[in-house]
Amino acid sequence: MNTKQATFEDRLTDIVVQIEKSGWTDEDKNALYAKISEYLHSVVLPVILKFTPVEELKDLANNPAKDSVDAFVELMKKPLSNPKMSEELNATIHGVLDDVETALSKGGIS
Amino acid sequence: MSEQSMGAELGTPRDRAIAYLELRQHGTYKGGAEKHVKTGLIPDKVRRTEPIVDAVTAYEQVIDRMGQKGFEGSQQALENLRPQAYDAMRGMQWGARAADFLLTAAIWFPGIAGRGLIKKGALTWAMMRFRPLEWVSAQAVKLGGTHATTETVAHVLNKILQGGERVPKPPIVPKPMTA
Repeated sequence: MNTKQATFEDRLTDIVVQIEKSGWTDEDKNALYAKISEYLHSVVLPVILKFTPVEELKDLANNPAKDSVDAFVELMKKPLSNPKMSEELNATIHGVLDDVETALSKGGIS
Repeated sequence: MSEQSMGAELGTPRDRAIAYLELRQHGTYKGGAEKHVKTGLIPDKVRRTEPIVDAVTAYEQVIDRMGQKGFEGSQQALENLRPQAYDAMRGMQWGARAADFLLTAAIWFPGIAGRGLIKKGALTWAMMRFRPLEWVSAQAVKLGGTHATTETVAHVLNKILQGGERVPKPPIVPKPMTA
């Protein structure tokens, strides 16, 4: 894994370039892009929620009169401004990209 | 199907690549059939995972209720604001590629939000609801800089970052009628 050398975007760009050059059909490429997208999206919210104060979130959920955009934003500021969340998220999405790179080699792209 | 046996049983390179990713994501291979992916808020695998199951349930309740209150329209607001935010990002000498993550960055970038270009609260909610991955990517751009990409690659990156529902749906081939 080259997490320290390359940003998430650098790595994802390299992956897309490799797939574009693969000679696969557009249908096959789109299927793989859809899978990559689904996998990446599936890991983001769980990490954010892990750092969200559960009691405050439950309180908001249990009190319909309280929920508003402002209340939601105030609540989400906490995980979003937590450096540990950023570190974990970064490690998690780089882990997904590790898997994608392995998948490319299994598909004959590398 | 195990990771070891997967290669032998799946024929095409595409099947092998997708099967591996499914195995890593879900712990099982679902068959690799072509499907129109619509990203759920929380994957089933995580929904069942302690200790965040309470947080997931509460989060979905809040999101659902806000949707019922009419905030789902914020997705369209994001689309409408994209050209404005793009211009703002270019004005601040961000790379064209960074401008593809413009909305997320605009939300968190005081120079843009402070101009009243966008309503920060509403868009923060919308980003968390619809574009969490794009937000993550924007954070990476802010920390790591940008680099130029071709139009083709940028288009694909956007599709990946903005969510599976934007990936073209495969054509439906009607089954032949049987007597």
